Amino acid sequence: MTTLSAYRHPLSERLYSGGAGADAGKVLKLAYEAISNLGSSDSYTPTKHELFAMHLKSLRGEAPEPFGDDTLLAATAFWSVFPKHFAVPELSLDDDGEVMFDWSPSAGRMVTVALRYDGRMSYAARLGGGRTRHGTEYFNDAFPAWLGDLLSELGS
Amino acid sequence: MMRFLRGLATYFRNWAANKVRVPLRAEESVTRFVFRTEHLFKDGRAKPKAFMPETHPATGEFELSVCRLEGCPEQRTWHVGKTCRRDVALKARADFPADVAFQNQLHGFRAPEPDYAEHAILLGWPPADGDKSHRMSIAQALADAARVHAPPT
Amino acid sequence: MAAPRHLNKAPIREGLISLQFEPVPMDAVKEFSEAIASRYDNALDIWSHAFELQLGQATPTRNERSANGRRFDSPKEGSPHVVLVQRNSFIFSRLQPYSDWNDLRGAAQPLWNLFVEIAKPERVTRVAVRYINAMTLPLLPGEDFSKYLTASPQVPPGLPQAVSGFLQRIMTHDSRGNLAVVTQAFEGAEATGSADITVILDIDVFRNTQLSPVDAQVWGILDNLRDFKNNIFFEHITEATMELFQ
Repeated sequence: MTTLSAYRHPLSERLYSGGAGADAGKVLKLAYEAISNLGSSDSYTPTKHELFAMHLKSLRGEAPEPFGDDTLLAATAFWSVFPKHFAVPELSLDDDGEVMFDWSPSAGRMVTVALRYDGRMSYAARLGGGRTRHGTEYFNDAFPAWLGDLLSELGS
Repeated sequence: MMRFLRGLATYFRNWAANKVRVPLRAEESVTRFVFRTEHLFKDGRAKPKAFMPETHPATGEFELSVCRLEGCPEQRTWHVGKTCRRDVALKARADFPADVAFQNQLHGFRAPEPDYAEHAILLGWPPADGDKSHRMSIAQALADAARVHAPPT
Repeated sequence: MAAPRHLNKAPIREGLISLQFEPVPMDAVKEFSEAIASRYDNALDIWSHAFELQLGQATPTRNERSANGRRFDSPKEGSPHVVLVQRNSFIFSRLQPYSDWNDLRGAAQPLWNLFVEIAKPERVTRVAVRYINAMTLPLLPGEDFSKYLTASPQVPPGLPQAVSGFLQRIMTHDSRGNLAVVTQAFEGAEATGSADITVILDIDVFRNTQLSPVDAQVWGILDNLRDFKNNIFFEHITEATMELFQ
């Protein structure tokens, strides 16, 4: 009998723990292709394009904030494991070059994450009812469970 | 005598540098000018990014520039918004009570500039080597309290 | 399920230990790489890629890449293995021929200790064990997969039962906070004339942690994960499968 777990672990959380052989590469490819085609992915491609567009704008000097290559890699890696059942965030760039992801389904409720080139994630949340959270974590190629909890509470 | 004069000169130099700061009152409102559309949500509300402080080039301290609304007619406020920066076009302004800043342990002071007497700054942000997430949390509080207005056409 | 026992011809294609930690500077990765380079015949940079796609264009218009790690294989001494080290991860992997867990663990630990001494990562944030099995099964067309697999994908009884390929990935966990991603994949019978098919059973077990890199608990958790992996493996196969690997 297969039952529903009480824990939330998105299907795309950290596809695999790495691997050196050809079979590891084969399994990764199969899983990635299967997961990336799940559901409606149309709304997710523009975000990836938006990241590249922001990066290019910075390189061309059309934006005052720096957007380095390492930051782009970190942001696209984060986006590739972002679960598709959460709302798409709105993007901006902070003065220190960190990519900012914002979710806010309504006034008074929002989650903001700033992602640095080395995976450091600074986050802040307003969850309604006077509840706020903020802290610092690291992104290690796996979609962070704490962020999933915040977004679930936000109703995103 | 010379030592006295040198001391007096140092005193006035320090006074000019630290200029007597007039604090903002909790009852007054201020506004944050928004120059980038990506600093607004698609539904028109202000993002926290619009309220993230900048580093003062001389002091290295974080500060947030705002415009005092008290005694400032609408037309004047919009004129200041459109002219205080020549390099970018004004997209919106986000009004909020100064008290929200004080509730988040910030301090507000008048900081008039040439042709911009209404200029003020919010200080007291967690420092650069401190917790960025705390700055983000304060910015969220300000964004949440703000009412956004588009420039008149 | 099959009763757990040692398998002389275990279908293991790769067994690995993976440790993730808060990022260390690239210079530290390079210093570690220089320290062990002489022990291996092959060393390669691990590259990160970023492609830019302009809207409306199908081909990338810009390709950026930067080295963010190093891969070492073909050790000059000791059992064959691969070391992959990046700014936030250390992986020690045994490809075929695989020996046993003690051999894998015993070879990985000194290298990890050296890495910690040089790179000084602050916290281990994820500990994982992954085993990829490629099971060659003498299954004939029309035969039930359940002859060899206890949890192969099920086709509803009212539909044609012939399956020419499948990919099944489940995520589960045990009561100790260990998580597992179990993948079964069958890409179809190969056109080699052989009656055998190959089914991959990939078991990736891990736990998120906040441990000092020198904490003995890291290796205790790895042993724990290995036990969980074994349990998963034996629960997925039948006695008939076991006989193939004795």
